[in-house]
Amino acid sequence: MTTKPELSKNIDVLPGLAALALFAAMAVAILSANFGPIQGFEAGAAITRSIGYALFNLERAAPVVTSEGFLMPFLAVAFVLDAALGAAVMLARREGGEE
Amino acid sequence: MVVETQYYVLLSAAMFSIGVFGLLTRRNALRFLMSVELMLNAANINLVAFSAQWGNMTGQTFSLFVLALAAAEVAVGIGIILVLFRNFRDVDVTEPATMRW
Amino acid sequence: MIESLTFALFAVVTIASSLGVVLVEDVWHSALFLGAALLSVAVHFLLLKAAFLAAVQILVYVGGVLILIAFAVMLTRDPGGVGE
Repeated sequence: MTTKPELSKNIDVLPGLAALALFAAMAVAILSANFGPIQGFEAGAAITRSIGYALFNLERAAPVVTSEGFLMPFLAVAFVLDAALGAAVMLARREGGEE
Repeated sequence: MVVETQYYVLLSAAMFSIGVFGLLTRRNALRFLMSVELMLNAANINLVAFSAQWGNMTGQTFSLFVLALAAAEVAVGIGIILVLFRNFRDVDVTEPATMRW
Repeated sequence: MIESLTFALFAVVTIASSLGVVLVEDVWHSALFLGAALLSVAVHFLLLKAAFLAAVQILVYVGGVLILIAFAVMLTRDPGGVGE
């Protein structure tokens, strides 16, 4: 059955005010900040290619947009994804062993 | 005409605050997961906006890692929520109190 | 000019659907609002000249994370009652 979305009625408003205060503080800080003129990418810059080179610490080997090397974070994320796969399998299995 | 970076940062602050609001006011574990997704997306907007501001690729590349971490977090979170549902027949986060205090 | 207009339009979409995620009663509606929010974030990435990230955002978030969340919503439904 299709229903249209309805606003929830049991929302605790009091802790929500904390989130509103957080937004107010951040908005004041952002609007009073001055980031200077936008430098932007050069026309025709190879943006996607630069991501690929930066992922393997090759950003100095090719004429691409400047960046830092990200080979070590790449390996770390590989291990994190592996751990997440293992954790998901462990959680999905029923308690009490192999079945 | 290019949009000022300030407005992107303001948008991302608003999105992050909405995520915090969801975490603080609701009790459904699935909605917690969605609120965390909103907050991670706000961080991504920030990274990409400053990448475009300075003409540097570091922000865009790093936001790829945020994306990968978000996917891993959701996979584990959904496993936990399904176990929670199996044990309590509910996804209310105030129900499981045995490991509290 | 056209970029500012697009940004304003999709900023409204992003904020409104993010608010929908946290304020709506039904979790299923919440998941659909999350999909709208993620897609509009991809549009912001396109405006910021990050076309690859926009594609990855749609593939990973809308195609992966949202599907997982949709499965979890359907698996945790109370079969007898009205959801939530």
